[in-house]
Amino acid sequence: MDFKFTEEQEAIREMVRDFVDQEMRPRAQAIDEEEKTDFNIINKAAELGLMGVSLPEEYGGIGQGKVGFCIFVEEMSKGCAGTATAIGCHQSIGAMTIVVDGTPEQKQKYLPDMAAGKKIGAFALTEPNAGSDAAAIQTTATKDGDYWILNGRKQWVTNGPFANVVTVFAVTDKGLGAHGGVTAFIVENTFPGYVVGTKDHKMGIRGSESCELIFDNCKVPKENILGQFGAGFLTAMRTLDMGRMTLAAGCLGGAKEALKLSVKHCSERFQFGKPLAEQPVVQQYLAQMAADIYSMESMIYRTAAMADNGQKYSRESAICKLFCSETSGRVIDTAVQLHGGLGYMREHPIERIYRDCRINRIFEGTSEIQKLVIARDVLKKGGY
Amino acid sequence: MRVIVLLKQVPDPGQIGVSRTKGTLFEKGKRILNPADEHVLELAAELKSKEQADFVALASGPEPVVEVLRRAYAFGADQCYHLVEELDEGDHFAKARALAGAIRLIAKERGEVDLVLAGKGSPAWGAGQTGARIAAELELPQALWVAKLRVHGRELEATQLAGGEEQVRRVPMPALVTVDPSANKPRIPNALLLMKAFKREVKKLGLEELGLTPDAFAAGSTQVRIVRTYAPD
Amino acid sequence: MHVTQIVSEKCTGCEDCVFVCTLKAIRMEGGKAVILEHCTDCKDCWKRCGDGAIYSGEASAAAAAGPQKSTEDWRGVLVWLEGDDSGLQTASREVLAAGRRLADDLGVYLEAYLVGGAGAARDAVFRGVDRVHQRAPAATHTGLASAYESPLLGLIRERHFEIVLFPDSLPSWELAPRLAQRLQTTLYPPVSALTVDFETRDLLGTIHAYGGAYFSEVTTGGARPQIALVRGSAFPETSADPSREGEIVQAA
Repeated sequence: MDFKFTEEQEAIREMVRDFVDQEMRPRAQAIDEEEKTDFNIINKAAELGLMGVSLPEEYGGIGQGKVGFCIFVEEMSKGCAGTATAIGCHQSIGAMTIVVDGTPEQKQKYLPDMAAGKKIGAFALTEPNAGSDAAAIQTTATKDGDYWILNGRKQWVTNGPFANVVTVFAVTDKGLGAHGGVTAFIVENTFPGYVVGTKDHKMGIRGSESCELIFDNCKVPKENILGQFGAGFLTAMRTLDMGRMTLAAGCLGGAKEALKLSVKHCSERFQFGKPLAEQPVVQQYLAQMAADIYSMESMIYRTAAMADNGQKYSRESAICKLFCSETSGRVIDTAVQLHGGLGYMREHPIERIYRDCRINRIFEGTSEIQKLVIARDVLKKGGY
Repeated sequence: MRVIVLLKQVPDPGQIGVSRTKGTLFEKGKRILNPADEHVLELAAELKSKEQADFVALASGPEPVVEVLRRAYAFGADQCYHLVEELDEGDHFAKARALAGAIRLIAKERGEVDLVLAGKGSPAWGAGQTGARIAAELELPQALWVAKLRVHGRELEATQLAGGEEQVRRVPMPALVTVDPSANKPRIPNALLLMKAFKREVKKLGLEELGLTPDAFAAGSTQVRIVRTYAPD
Repeated sequence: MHVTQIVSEKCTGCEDCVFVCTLKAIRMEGGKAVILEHCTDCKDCWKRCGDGAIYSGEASAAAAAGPQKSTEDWRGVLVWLEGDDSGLQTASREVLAAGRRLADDLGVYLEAYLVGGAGAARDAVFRGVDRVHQRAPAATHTGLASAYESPLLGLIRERHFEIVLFPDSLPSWELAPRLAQRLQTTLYPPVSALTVDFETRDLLGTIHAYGGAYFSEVTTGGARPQIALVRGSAFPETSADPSREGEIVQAA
């Protein structure tokens, strides 16, 4: 067992840290106010190759494995969780569907532009009546010669307002249900009948924009079917395995930032004639935060290494998602407490981090869904 | 135009301590690229794009020094050389003689060198002397602590910064220049170049290849020997 | 044991030194002055000599060749000074003070290579320099090294100073490392608290490491000359004494 990051991974971490220090963290508060994805940052990230960290080298990506990608998401999430969501979503669930199930032609057509940040990716699964119950989707696709005609609405699509390449899941055979009846399509925003709906107003991660996407007789060429016909649900699940693990890495980044801010605050803030950090009760909090962070970090990188070794990690990625979203929520909540009144003020980053982290227990499968996934797997295959 | 950048690996200033009993400085973490040298790499990368310069990097020292050369590749270096030696770090005379020898050898291999670039100094002792020493070894004119550098044909227009005052020097090439950190803001290297850097070959040189036998050095007598180090009260 | 020496090539046989020596420690041999054993280094002869033939230290032919095995061949302290007719620059006055103290400790003369006018040369003498090698500033746009490096190198090679001090300034950084490399010797980074080991005559200095977070005491492995940069504000200036005498010669 060797728990050391490679030199390449250390180099990526250092580089992303520089990028976050220079470009992201200083803008995080303003981005939160503006409620807009900062394309200055996206463009700079693209120049530096950071829009294709997870994508294969042969398509212009950096070819980092899951471990490298988790490092990338962790570091970005320290600086600005909203921007990290936009960039992370683009290459984890956005482009990963094509990496996982695309044909060589589809990969050649889409991935180089996505790796270069010229085209932004998104993933459209959730609908007004289908979220946690992904099998209940109502968007339909019907064949019309060389095209498939999509009809329906997808909501809360991250990167939706500006995405160029969207993986859309639609029912192709109502009788077969989730397994066999759902197909994934690569939909470009220029296709006729593709409509961008209203933008969402969110509690946090406001540097990430999401919206409704409407497919009004949207014409999709038949070569844009992604993966096996009728096997869209499998594509979605495989992609979400990675999405959930990287989301956990984002939780870790937020928790680390919260601990760093707390240590600084508790060392500098004097009460009763001494720094807060000298109060035993404060030390207990800090110790628990550190222990939580260490356990999150351990499970994420162990799972990512499993994935890089080609092992199945569906259960483990769900565990990472569940544990890290819940745990980082607690760590960040403690950080707000340690900051006292200051932690409730809009001018302090911890207030934003607190709002930003709440979504982690909800999107890409709620905590409850993760528990369901884990429990089903445990009941089927046994525990550890 | 051919530029050779001299890089140094130094202890991380945030990762050092002093032993009270032994009176010596110890290093707690990995060594890093001398922070001043980041500005040198940036200048070389700019010269590569503006003047189509051949960008060569050279570092000397024991094996781990190769890490700083990866940074040069990440900044777009065309070729990196590692002079493997274990000369005393305080022996500036020997270090300069060895590096000058390596530069001569590289010039033979790749062609004439027009500009040798080095950092202004290091966190440990501040301003450095190796640059000017190498200039003397190679009989090159020099401009030190340069904040702005322009190339006019075969001549350099160098703005030196000393005590808040600027002085403009015109120096014919080939020349040696040390770069003041105010000269530029080092870029964040491209992630793809950064990863490719790990696969690029670093050419190894040895003192014997340079024709430097132990008697080319004054056998350690030229070193600045540290008697003891302590933290001020 | 005295350190006062005669450069016989420069001695014109004028006998002025014999005349001023109250101890009768100088004798003429074959038309050249020779210093005798009982000389006490009072410097009266040296002040009198108008030919620059008397100095502290011994110049051997071997010493001029390159790296020195023997530190015995090197004597005297040289400082690099800059000034104008109103006097010496602050950093130069401090370096002069550091040099004067070392020269006194070692019992040798303090000489200076001065770039500046007559006023600065007088200031240097009044503040303690025994012999000033004065020259006017060179008009240079390519850097100081091109103008002063070889005359300074020539002077050091000729006189074999055991210690050469520079202030911590850009001109010094331009010159000192190049001189050190050509002389195959040590250059101390900016030092404060300069002392000498009386047995080995090695220089001991304190340097500020990591922006002053640590101090390191440094010395040399026996290299000569020992070239050092002197930290600003580390040495209190010597006061100017207009009655003090010294020699001012035109330098190359």
